[in-house]
Amino acid sequence: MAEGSGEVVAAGEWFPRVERARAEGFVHLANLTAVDEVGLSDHIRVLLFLTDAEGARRLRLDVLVDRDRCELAGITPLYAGAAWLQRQVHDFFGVRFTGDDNRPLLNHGGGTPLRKDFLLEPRIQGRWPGALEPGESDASPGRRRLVPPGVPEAGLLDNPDATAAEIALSASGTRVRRGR
Amino acid sequence: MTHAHGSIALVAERCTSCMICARECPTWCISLTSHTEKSAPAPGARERTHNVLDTFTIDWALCMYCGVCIEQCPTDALLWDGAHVPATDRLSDLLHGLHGG
Repeated sequence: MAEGSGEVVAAGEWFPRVERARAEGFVHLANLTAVDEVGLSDHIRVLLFLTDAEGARRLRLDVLVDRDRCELAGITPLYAGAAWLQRQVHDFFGVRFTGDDNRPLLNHGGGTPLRKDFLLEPRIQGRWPGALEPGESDASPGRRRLVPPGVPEAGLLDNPDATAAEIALSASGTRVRRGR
Repeated sequence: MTHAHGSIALVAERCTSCMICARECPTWCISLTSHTEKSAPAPGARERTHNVLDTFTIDWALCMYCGVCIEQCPTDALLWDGAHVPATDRLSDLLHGLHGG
């Protein structure tokens, strides 16, 4: 969506940098979203997409928020439209926007579903049709089985030392057609 | 080629029971079972084993018509079919067996 990669802003500089961007003419908030960088670094990357009034110039600002102390200055005093987008990022990544509304917007069930170490319990418990091998009608016990995407390797969750990065990587699943 | 959002059809003669569709489906809506049989293609040739499809079902309550199964099938045994899945009164009636028992 934006040309090139985003300008990375230090977390402590977030509000002043965004305020300066708006003063430079980037008056339209196009999107505010996030990515879990676990596996690369222990951060949630929050991305802010701004354009000028005509939509001609674009600016993308990134900030890396610590996954555990997950707080960032809220920017609704600058862009009122950030309110729901921030609530959505809070719902799915657990980022708390200080000074702004953090009430649930879409996710009322709790947890942080778009973090990569968030697991779908029914998939771990349930039966995967793809676990059968070609030529099989019943799962024969004792045979090592393919693990579906979203389910970590058996036993990893019982390991208290397993890190979020290890769980996220393990749950990326064995690829059927493409290499891992 | 038009991709009408109709439904997904199976051409059973082309299916080799490779399990790729069931494994790639993001909603786990495809289930299939198969068994192996032996044959000798010519007199004196070594015996070979091949898969025989027993059952193939799609749960249309889960299917999201993404078409990944059609894209991934290596033998083109799955196709877009124009006909829509008929509406039913019960969720269980959306589990269609496309082949076998």
